[in-house]
Amino acid sequence: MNGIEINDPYMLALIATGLFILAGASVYSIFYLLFKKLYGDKVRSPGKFKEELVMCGLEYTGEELTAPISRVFTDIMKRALPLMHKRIWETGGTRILNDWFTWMLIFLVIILVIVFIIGW
Amino acid sequence: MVMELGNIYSYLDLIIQLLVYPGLFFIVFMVIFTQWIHRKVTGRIQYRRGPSYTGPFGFLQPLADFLKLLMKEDVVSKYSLKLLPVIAASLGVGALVTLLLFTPVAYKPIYGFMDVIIFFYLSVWSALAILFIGIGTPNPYTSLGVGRYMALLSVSEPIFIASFLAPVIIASKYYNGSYSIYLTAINSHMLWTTSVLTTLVMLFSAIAGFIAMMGVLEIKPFDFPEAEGEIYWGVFTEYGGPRLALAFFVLFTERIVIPLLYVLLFLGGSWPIDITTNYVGGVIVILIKFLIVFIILSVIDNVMPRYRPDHGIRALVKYGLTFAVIALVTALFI
Repeated sequence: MNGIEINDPYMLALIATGLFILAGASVYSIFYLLFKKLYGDKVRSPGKFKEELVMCGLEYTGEELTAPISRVFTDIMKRALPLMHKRIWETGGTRILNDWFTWMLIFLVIILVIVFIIGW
Repeated sequence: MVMELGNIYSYLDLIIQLLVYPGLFFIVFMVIFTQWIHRKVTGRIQYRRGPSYTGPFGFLQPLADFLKLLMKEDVVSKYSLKLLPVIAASLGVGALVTLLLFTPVAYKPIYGFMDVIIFFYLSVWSALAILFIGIGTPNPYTSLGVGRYMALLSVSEPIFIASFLAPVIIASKYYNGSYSIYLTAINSHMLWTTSVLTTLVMLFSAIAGFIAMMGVLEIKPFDFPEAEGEIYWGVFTEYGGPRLALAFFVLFTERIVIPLLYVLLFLGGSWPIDITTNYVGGVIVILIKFLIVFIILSVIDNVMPRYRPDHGIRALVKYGLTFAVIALVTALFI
């Protein structure tokens, strides 16, 4: 087979990380810095930063509106999977549902169980 | 010929592959090409001609739009993150580009024992980049988009991982695939016909993989994190100029790399041509198959209505997760 064989997973991870950081740095330098230097910086406007909160292209000065991300996430999950939500609610209270870390911990445990079954 | 790292030519090969083919340059070309196809398909479905002015048959219209955004002034809200979203977007593109080096599309692919872990490690970066781009701006519509995107990812990513893992496990058990994406991809056409059980696993994981792919790529009916007209543009609401160009770059690169991987793992890769003996022929077959999958996704994106977020999540769990879990468990105990 024609290729580069690396059988050490740690070395593979290091090389992949190095390569994607190099690719990311190239994207950043070419498509952001270079174009900004050549064209973006030459555009004159009163200020680079918008002083007011911008909403949909307009400066918003009314009362502050917020939509907490974790609540949006929890609400969608509650509506989508009502049975699971009810069980978690009854056993752990609302704290668990609002805790993004717990959700990720559940997924991590699932992955670990799969890895254990495979015998890695 | 198998090369070992440490040789200066192997490093040179890696860098050329990363920056030219199948890396950055190739991806930029493919983004232009696929977006032209997508717009043409959209135009035909909506009884329009689609892009037709810039370049032959309007081919250069996506490039013109991309350059227009890149050449604009970089305006940032006082309350938003300044540099980190740009870096996150660049790294997201970088990770997806690097992913192609682990597939047979690369002329000197990297492969090794357990490289499937690297595959998942790199593929999750683009999703995190889009998430980070959204979190970086203080807009209620953006927050709604990010919350919806989190909910979508927390269901579609496990389905994506489980369904894409199933063929890798079968290939490792029957064809010494070493849990490698490359070795699985060059044997993927045989996985369908190894036994009745592997055929079933491949069928179930292919169905789940397609549904997960639609979720991860925000193809309708799962495009509720963007939901134009409902929450303006969700994650991308406050973006414009070079920042929007980079955000689109991540999104459109994802729409190339994930379907390409789907072709490699589920649709037989370069079959009927053996890519290890006929590289050019194999790549052409892979690209033709990719194009068919991309056009199918574009048609679905144009004709389907949008799910409500909770309905979308429920549909993903009901159809995608069920098939993916059945496929994964069967693949493990086969």
